[in-house]
Amino acid sequence: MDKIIILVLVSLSLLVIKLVMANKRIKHIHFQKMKQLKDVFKSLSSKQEILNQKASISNDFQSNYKSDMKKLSEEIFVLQKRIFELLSKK
Amino acid sequence: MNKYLVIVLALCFHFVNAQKEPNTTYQFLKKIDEINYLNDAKNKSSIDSLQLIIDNSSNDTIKGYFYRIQAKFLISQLEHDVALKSLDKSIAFYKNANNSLGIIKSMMNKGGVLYQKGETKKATQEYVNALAIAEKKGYKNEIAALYKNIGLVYYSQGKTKEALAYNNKALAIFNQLKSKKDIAATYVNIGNCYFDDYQPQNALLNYNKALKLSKETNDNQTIAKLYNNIGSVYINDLQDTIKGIDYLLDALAIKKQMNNQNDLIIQYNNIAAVYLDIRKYDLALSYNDKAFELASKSGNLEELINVYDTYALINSAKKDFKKAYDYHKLYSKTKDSLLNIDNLKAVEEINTKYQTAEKEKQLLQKAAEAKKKTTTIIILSLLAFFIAIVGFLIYRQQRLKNVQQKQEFELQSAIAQIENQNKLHEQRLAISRDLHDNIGAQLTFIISSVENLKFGFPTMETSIKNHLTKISDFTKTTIVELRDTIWAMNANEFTFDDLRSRIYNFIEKAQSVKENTAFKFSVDESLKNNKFSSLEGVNLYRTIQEAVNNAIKYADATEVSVQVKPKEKGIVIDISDNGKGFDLETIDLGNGIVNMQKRIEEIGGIFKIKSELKKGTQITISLNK
Repeated sequence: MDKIIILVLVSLSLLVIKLVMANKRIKHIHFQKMKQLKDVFKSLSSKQEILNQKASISNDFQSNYKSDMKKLSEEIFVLQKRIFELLSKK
Repeated sequence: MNKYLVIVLALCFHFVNAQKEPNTTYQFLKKIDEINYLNDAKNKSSIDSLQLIIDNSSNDTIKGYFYRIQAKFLISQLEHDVALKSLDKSIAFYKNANNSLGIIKSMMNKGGVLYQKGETKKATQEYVNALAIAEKKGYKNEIAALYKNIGLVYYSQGKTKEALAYNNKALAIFNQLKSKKDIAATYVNIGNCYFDDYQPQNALLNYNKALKLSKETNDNQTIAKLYNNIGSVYINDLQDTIKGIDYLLDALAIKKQMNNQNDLIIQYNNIAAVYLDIRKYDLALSYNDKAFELASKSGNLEELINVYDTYALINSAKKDFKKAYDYHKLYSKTKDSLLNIDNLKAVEEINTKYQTAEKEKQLLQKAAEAKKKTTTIIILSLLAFFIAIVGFLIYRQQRLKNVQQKQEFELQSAIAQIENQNKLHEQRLAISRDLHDNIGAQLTFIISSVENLKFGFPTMETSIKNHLTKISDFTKTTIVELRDTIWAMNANEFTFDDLRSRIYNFIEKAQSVKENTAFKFSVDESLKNNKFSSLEGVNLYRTIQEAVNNAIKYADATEVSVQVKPKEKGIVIDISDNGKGFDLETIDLGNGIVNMQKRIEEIGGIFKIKSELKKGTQITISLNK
């Protein structure tokens, strides 16, 4: 009986140690995984930033381009007007 | 015949099986350890010859057993003193062999011999000692036998109440063990107690129970004893002398067959007493003489008392008072020696000691139980504590896993979201690139068409020509902007080297327009590998481009300098010219300067402009890097 009780107590102690170690291991694994995910997140964020910047450059160009095209159309309109004036004179 | 058989067996045992294991010897001794063999006086020589062989044996248990058998034989032959020596040897050998059961059995036999010799004090002591060992070892059969023997001692002292108590304890254990022979013997003792207490019916009831069991087990010795006792009940208490004598003679016949000297004494004496009662003095004397012969030979005081008493009564009945008186004196003398006060006191003392020891034992048992209880509580507490810790750890582990899974899931979701957004951005940028390519092609087409018109109609009106030139220049500027945008979008990061080569391209074109303007572009060596993002790169490029353009276009500068220098935790870009300058307070700042400031602030920098009339303009851009 005594032997069985000692065996049970020793087994429980071992179980406690095993659980504590498992806890530590889980924490470590989680820490590693989180680090990895954060790295991925960081690289994706910087990529997103770059893409945002490029999009901003593109948008900037497009707005400039729109106003340029407007000016160009105005210029073409003046040119056409002038050509029509000349043609009507002739 | 039996004798020769034993000798032959013994010799065979010695010479042939000398090398065999002690178990064989033990089996042989067990074979001769039975009443019929041991009661036969003729077997003395064979047992003596067996002793010579056993003495050479190295096994103490075998030796102990043999000497006990020898003692039993000697007891049956009424040689009590020699039997005691054999039993002492037996006990000594058993002790050497550490054989508790053997020790108890031999001590029991020794107690029996002492009891028969009238030494009740020593006998009781022996029984109590044996009982202590038997109780310690838990030998139930031996405990019951010892209770029975102690009961016998009390019975011999006339204490039938105590004797009955011990016999009943013995009977309870024997019933548990279902040992018919022992149950029968105990019933005999109980019957004897009732007989002495003048309860003939109870006595007969117990004797008959014993008789039934003894017949079942063919135990002739007990059957003889029972016939004798039943006879006594009929003669003494139920007044049926004839039936009583018949029982006594039946008992005598069996006892003669068995040749047990002690039993024969009792039987002869009983018959003599009965014949005395019915006034057959000669017959009474002849039976009593036989009893006396055997009792004096064995020194059996207990039986000798009865024999002397019977002699006294016979002679008294025969009116020979002198002889009767002499025998009575002998009776009294012998009885005194057997039943003296010391003996009674000693037995009582031993009993008290035994009872005290029993109580102490019970107290110790209670203390041990309390200790066991405490130990159990401690063990249970420890178990509960450990189980609680294990439970807590499992719970914590599960909770930790949940929290971790939640964190990981949240991060993974964010990553997935960013990935989706990035994909979307990439797709949009791809579409933008396609659009830019398209726009580039269209603009190139416009430029070449305008140039073709100009080339195809050299005589066209000047105003139209100017318009076409304006359109062509405007389109060229747009295409340059487009190329700059594509340049900025194709690279993820820039260095000052990239920036410098781009600015040089622009300066070369500017120089082709204004040949008398000197341009200077210098970058500190330590900053050559500094990197910018595409937005920073394009904003810086356009700011520098705008500043240089302003210097050429509006300030009429002959020297334009762009210097990139390091500062503490950052970079400083100085763009200065020696143009006509302007008054910052009076002049209305155009879109160009406002756009420059916006672009620099967009990338986290500081834009400063300093200008004085006829002293040129200085633009300072500070960036934190």
